[in-house]
Amino acid sequence: MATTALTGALEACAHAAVGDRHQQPDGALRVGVDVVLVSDVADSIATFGSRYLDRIYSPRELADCAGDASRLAARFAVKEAVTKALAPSDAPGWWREIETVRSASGACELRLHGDVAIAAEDKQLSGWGISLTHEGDYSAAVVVGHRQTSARVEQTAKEKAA
Amino acid sequence: MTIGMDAPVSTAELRASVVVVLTEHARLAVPAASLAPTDDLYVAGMSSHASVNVMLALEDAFDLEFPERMLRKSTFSSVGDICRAVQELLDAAGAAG
Repeated sequence: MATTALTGALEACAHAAVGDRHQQPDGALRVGVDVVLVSDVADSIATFGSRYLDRIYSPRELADCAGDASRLAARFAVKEAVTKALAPSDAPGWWREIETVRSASGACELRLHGDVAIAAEDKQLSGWGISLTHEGDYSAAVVVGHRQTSARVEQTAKEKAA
Repeated sequence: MTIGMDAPVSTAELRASVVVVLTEHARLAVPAASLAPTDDLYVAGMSSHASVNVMLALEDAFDLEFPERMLRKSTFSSVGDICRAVQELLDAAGAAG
């Protein structure tokens, strides 16, 4: 199955799991999902080498992945999934500003930098959950951004001001 | 193959080179040469990852680098959009001397 068709199917599942209500502009959750072929990433490395790697991945991601195309593909899927969750009007190439960091325990967490961090803040997305997977030639990622409600934003502002 | 550096590139030559890049790297579901200038490449099958390869290949083909402001989905949405972006960068490089 082409990745575009598979991604579309996974997106439908993710949105159904979250509920259509949360996908509205004022919903509490924003979901993104993406699928990437590991062989595509391997081909990109073979064709473009460090130009591809340095353009897309942070130094920390490159160190964590140690050249493993399946891990790199999963991290690319995270970048695309976050971009979808933020749903910008004209998706920028935020690649290096969306960073997957692997802790000593092996768990992965999301770190946003620069313009994408600002975009997430503008949408009041304060917390993120991510899940990565790779099996055979497929790598996939699901991200869920938790949106602070207006009431919570006001409460947080009051607490900060106090 | 690098074009555009020694002499101005005609519109037809530019489009032909863009079509070659798309054929090799965009992983389209249809022949790139069959696409109209405004046909959506993402609808035609180009994934986000493939668009990265297209970007890098265009940089190689035309010996240029897309600035960050151009690294947006709309820059690579159609053959026409790509040609306009490349022409803008070639013109800027030519003006710089």
